[in-house]
Amino acid sequence: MACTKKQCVGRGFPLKLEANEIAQLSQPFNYEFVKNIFPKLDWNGIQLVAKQLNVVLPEQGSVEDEEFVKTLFNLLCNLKVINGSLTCPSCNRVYPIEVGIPNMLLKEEEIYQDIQRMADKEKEAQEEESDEEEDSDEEMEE
Amino acid sequence: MSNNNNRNKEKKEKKEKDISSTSTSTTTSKNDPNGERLGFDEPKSDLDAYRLENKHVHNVYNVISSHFDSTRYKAWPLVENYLNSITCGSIGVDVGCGNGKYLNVNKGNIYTIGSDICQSFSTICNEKGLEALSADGLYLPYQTDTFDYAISIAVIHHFSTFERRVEALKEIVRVLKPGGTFLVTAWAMSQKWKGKNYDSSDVMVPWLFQSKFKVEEEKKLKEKEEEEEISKSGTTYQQFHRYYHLFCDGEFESLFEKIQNVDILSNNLDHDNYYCIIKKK
Repeated sequence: MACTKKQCVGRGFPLKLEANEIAQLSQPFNYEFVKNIFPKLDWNGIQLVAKQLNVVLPEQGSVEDEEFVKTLFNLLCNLKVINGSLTCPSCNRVYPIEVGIPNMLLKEEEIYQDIQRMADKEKEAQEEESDEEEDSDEEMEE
Repeated sequence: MSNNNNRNKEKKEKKEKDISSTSTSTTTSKNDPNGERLGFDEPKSDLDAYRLENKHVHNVYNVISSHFDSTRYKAWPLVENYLNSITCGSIGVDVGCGNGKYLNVNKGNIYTIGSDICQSFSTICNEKGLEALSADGLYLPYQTDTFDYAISIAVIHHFSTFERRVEALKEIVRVLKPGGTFLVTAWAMSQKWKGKNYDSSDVMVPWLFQSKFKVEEEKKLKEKEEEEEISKSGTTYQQFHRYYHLFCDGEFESLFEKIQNVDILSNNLDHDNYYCIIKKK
């Protein structure tokens, strides 16, 4: 998961997970699912989450290793954070997790302050552009 | 081109569009003999639109969610077929998942993460053991280029301006991987199948809320002014109004025209709903 704030797109990831209460689910194991999903995973993000949930993962995994596949499946599908929080590494916004549901909603003030801020930035950028050409790309870059 | 750049450009075009959109859709009727519609003020700014949606979409669903859940259990074959066609091991999102009736389709093979702006819906999903979080469709908590597929069923018609509908679609396309597909549906203005007819594209559709679904918290709802009590064959109902922007022929095309990196794979009408499947380039 990533930060919802527009200025954090491309930066607000991965959110830092803090888990106070974890539930163990019991979804039926599916090898095909893990095999196909494995190459798509953000391995650094997974390692961070695993550490938070006290799951031991090897540095490198292989879908041929049955033990590893089971551990990964358990991490992906059977561990649910009931209470905790997610913190953006870029803006430090804290998103609470309560009764198993991450609340990623922004408040009205947050949304419209951000829109205002971006409009101001755009204005500044335009002014700069008229002074010296091709120099204001930095803040737009993601 | 970066997302920011796109957004800023949109903002620039916005003022002009605001003027044109108000002139084309101000025909909201104030007094409908069938009680089908309720007059409302056209949103003049994005903030107004946000507040209209908050009052006439989010807050209403927050109250009626359990009643809504008891009436929405059948999956629509169109959506089921789409989800069943997705390859095993794929991860996708359901934006505006409501009571989560699609989160379980093709379960075990694909993994669908639901989100809804109405927290009572994410709670309902959770109680059913489905994966859902609370998030605004315009601000999805996912990284760019992440998901293999996406669905957004009967959601886009709750956004009250053209720009917001474009932004909502853009946001879903953003989190989709290049090559990923996305199924989106919206209510059509002409509802021949249901035998209803709407003569305006922006309407308030009533929901008759059965009081038995009320929970303590909901009784404290502030928006009392919108409630009306109605008695029908011995049951007392409360009437709520939900905002809808009904879609016309070609409307999905004009929305997707504003988004550069998509191809429309199919676009059709099914049971009074327009649907569109697109692929991200």
